[in-house]
Amino acid sequence: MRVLRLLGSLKLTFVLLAAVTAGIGAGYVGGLDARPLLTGVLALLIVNLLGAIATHPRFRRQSALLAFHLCLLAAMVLVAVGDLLRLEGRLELANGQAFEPELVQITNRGAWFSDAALEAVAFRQGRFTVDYAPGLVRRAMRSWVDVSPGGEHPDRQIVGDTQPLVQQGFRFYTTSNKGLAALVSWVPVRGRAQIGTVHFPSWPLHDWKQVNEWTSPGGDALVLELVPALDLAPGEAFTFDSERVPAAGELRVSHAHGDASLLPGQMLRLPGGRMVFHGLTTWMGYRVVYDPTLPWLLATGIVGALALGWHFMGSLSPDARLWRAADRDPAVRA
Amino acid sequence: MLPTVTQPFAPEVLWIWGGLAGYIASAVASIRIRTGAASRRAEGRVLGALWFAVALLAVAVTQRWLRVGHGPFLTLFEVLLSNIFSLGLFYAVAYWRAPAVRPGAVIVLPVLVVLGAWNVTVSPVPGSLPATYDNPWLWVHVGTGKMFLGACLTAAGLAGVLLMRGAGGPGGKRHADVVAWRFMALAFVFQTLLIVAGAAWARDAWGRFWGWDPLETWSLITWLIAGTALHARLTWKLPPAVGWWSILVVLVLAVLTFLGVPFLSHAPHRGII
Ligand code: HEM
Repeated sequence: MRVLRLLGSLKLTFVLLAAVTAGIGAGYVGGLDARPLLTGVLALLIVNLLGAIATHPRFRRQSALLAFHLCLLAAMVLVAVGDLLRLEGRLELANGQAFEPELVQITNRGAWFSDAALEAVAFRQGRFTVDYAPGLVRRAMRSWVDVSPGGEHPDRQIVGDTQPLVQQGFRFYTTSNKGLAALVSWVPVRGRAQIGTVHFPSWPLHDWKQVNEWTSPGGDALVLELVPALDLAPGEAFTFDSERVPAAGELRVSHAHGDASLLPGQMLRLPGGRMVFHGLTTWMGYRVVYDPTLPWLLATGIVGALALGWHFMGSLSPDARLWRAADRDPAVRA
Repeated sequence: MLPTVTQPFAPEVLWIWGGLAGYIASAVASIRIRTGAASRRAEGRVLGALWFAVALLAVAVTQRWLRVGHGPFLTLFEVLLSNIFSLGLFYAVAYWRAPAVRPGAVIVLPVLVVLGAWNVTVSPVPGSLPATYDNPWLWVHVGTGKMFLGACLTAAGLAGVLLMRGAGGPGGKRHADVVAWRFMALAFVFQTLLIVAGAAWARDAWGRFWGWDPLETWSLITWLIAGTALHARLTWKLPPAVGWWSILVVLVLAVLTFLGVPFLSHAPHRGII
């Protein structure tokens, strides 16, 4: 009991709250990495709050105050759990390509995140349009995806920067990252041909360097460059529409033995096999986020705020005499 | 010689000048009461001028809204305008219904005058509304934010006069103190909702409920300090003056968070993507 009381000490609360505030401030203003400090302090705050809830009689008498602090406790625990379960990543899909878990480039993965969760996600990339105001200011972005890619009829849904596709708790948002791609197939000397896309840097941001490196399945190191296929007039408003990209672009290929220029339908012989250029297509870049604790955190926040309001209504009740007290105070009236 | 026009003309600015005049009249009347140059019957004048200012600012807000086609929360000009309106409205209601807050008017009204004067010097050129603003959480967020600032300013007015030893004799002081903390408690509840709604909005809009952008960081720091201040007053029983100072600190931080951070940083929260 003594230990509990010590752990639940309000002096400790003060020190810890000050440490959290200072840690956030230092992290933000001083650019320090306050994460380890904050994690430690939050863990202590959780213990401190548990101790206080167990030992302070006020919490037994005032249930709304208790509810608020329990929500606080729950929120801290949820933030910690969310950090362990979360996933953040990026994804690029070419026009017509279906989602596959392996395509996700993970940027942040919680220790408890399970890859199996991504298996149930299924959609296929369709058309997209991006509106630009003069000066290349990006405006509305619409990306159509088919969410029943195996089904008889396409079931299309629009995804945007602020309008996610939500599947199995994963949220996919479009990003400024999207561009042109070359549709190529590879015919090895022996074996089956494969078709795929090579994505070029984000367009129109990198209009001036539509270059990418690619190693063919046959082991040939290639540099692919797209000869500008879309006219860019940055001073005018326009719409980048994946369906209005001219399929007829020109692809320059440099390899160890020389350079070549391919038009759609043309082929290049390389030591490892043959590369066929089919034409231009597009790709869309998504941001993927997963944090199953978010709805709970939201509910906790709302309940906590309401409980606190309830508590204050009781403890600082709008007693009319007090509100009007200044009226009767001679010094104030003077 | 004609004056050079440095800013494009916006019709709302005329109404804001009117509102500013109302706030000045109201502030002057409240200072006269405090210095003894006028009796407390002049409180009617304070309130009258306050309502007059709020009514003109309501016209300014409406006109702006209709003219640019979206609510006033994008540019500094718009944020200042909507806040001088909502703060004035909050304070007018408090002044009218809860006479205990009236001593704080000598601080609250000059603050409104300063914000109003700032408003007329800021460029009224409209911004463009990014898609993230099309979200129901935005309304909860903005509404709770206005209530939070209003309650915080009201509390700070009382805390300020208490620190100036101006809230009267022992009885008056105690009452003013209690009422100040009531408003602080109200402010804290709304601030909690503000952050929750903001996080919900951020989750919808950016796929993350929290991103440590400057606005989020500063509002969390303000919230923690407000929570610490409430603990200081109600739990740790620190000397009252420490509590009053902490109320003022919360107000200053809140005003900086609302009016400074979004316009100094280029973080996504500012709305431009
Ligand atoms: C994490 C450690 C915390 C502990 C151990 C703790 C403990 C307590 C206790 C024991 C009380 C009752 C006070 C009494 O007996 O007079 C209380 C009240 C309160 N706490 Fe906390 N608290 C914690 C964190 C927080 C935080 C983070 C906030 C908000 C930022 C907060 C806000 C409040 C409020 C508003 C009251 C109401 C004061 C009143 O009406 O008397 N608490 N806390």
